[in-house]
Amino acid sequence: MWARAVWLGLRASAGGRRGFPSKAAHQGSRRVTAELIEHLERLALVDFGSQEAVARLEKAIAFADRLRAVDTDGVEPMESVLEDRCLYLRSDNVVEGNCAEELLQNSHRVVEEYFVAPPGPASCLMEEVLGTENMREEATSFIYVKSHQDLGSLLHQSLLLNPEGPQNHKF
Amino acid sequence: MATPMLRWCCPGRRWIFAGIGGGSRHGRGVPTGSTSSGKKGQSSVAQQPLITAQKPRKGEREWAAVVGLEIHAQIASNSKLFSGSQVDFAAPPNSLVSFFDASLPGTLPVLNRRCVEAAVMTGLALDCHINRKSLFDRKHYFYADLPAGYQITQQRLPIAVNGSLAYSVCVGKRWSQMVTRTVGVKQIQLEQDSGKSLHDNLRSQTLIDLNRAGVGLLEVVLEPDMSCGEEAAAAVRELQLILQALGTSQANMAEGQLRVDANISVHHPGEPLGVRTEVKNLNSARFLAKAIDYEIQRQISELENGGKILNETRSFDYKLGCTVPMRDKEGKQDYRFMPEPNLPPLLLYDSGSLPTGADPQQVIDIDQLRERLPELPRVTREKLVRQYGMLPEHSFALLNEVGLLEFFQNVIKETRAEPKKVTSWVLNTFLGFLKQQNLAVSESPVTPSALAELLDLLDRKAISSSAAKQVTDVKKGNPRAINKLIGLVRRATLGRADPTVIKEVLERQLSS
Repeated sequence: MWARAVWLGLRASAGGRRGFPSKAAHQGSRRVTAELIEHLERLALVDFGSQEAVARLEKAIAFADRLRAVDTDGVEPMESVLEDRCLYLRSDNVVEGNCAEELLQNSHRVVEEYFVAPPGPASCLMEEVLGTENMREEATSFIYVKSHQDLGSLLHQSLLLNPEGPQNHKF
Repeated sequence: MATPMLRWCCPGRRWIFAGIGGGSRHGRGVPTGSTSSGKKGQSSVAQQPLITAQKPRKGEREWAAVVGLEIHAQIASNSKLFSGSQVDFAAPPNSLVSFFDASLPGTLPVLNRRCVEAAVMTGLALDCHINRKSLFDRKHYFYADLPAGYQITQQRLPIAVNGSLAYSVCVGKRWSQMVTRTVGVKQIQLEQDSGKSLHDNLRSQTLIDLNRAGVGLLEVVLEPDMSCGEEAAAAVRELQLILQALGTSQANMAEGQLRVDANISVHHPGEPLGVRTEVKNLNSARFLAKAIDYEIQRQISELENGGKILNETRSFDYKLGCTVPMRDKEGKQDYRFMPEPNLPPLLLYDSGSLPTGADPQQVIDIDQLRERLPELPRVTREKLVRQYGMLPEHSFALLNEVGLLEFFQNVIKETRAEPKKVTSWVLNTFLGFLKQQNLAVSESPVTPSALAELLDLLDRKAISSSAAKQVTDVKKGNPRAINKLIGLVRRATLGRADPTVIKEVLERQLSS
């Protein structure tokens, strides 16, 4: 599931009409190069540990490739399933904050009222959330959960046709 | 914080590699990698008058520099761009952080209306086309101060595009020759600010404060139409004044409300553009021009010596006065842009397209905002020149200091003296006095009324101008001057005025 989301993201960036510039994967190529795997692992902190994982990725890409069969010439890309919804505008009032203590409880390490992250940009976020003993797999599952959280709320909105649009949900 | 007025600006907009003799490796004052000296920044600036005087020697080709800017301005709003936590500069760490800002799972962005209005107003002030529909995207990268792992921005379809910013620079040897230049505004977009990381090198740890995470930013992208540090600094200064006049941002560089990144490249005129570098961390008005000029010189000398320019990100080291590569950003970043799935497109309306029966709180009318735009600095200056017959550079000086224009206008209201006299006194004597005492206009012991009265006396020729200057001496706390003043008044009234009466009148005037 995750690999597919990554691939779709890559494809949108490579081929879309108003596409984002990016290091696109080889168009039409079936083999995923070691270079690309390293690149993805660095960018997304996922772990394609085994050859099996890479093979699964290639199968997922091939599956998604079937989208190319659709002729999209002259069709404006749909950027969001929410495109017909009204974007809710909030008044500029202060209604949140002042919960430093609560937030800091989430952190593995704290110094006075600051979060502590070890130096080095890429690893710090994951280690902060999961503790220094984290496994790569846990990092992967965290990303999985987060991306699906967004997808879940998306479905929720579309299905229930909430007229107020996105709300600030707190669990 | 006012930038001093410019004294010169890349005449001819051409750069020459100032080498000693033919093909010397280390030109005077021109920095290379190995011979770094503390005075680098200064020498590259001091070099300029020499360069302008030289004509290109035989075999020496001219260089042209190309400078583009990305300016981030913090929006002046009560709450953040996508959450209801407060925007404030100084607060206990992590006290202004909501669950969304901390990127806790399950939270969603909710757009702040005030931030959208600020973006539209700024776009209108910069003559941009306001996109009726704009989109939000995610820009992914991992960093400790970015809890979500992505920043919500408007990369594909920003809120405003294709505008222009007019600014003035001094050219030529005479300070008073000002010309107007224009730089294109490529786009204005709304985006989130990141938190702050404090590096504790002692214990090798990074401390994170998320108070700033999620604060609304306006990113203003200026086209590479500028050719030197002075032009860039002047453009930034004018943008600062515009943002402050609009109230969309306080744009105070010292407090981090205005941050500038520069994209710099050099090439020979007529040839294709060179490889550009990005210089980040230009957060001081004073060093902005210096840093850009340093980088231009560095690139020129590198290429003249047969080297190549790397497409890299550099940082300006204030202590050394030079740019240094930023190690963390080696290799091109892949931000994996994707549409922000939690936000529908942002739709804006004008008086012609307003949906009927819509909740006014939920729609933004561009025409209404346009009508409510405050007077822009450019217009204010034009009015001053027309109304009071002052020189353009005087109008610049009046707007360049916080509160000075209001002070000037209050004096004008209360005095019968000629506007030109008032201008001269305010800009020379009064401003000079403030600078000497290191005071802001708001801290001045001299009130507009006091100055107005003094100028009235001067106007009626009751006192001479030297006497008037001495009054300001007394104001500064020099009591002996008052006796001198009495003497002068006696002389002016041809000995007819009673000294005691004079002293009383003067003391009354001076104590006001």
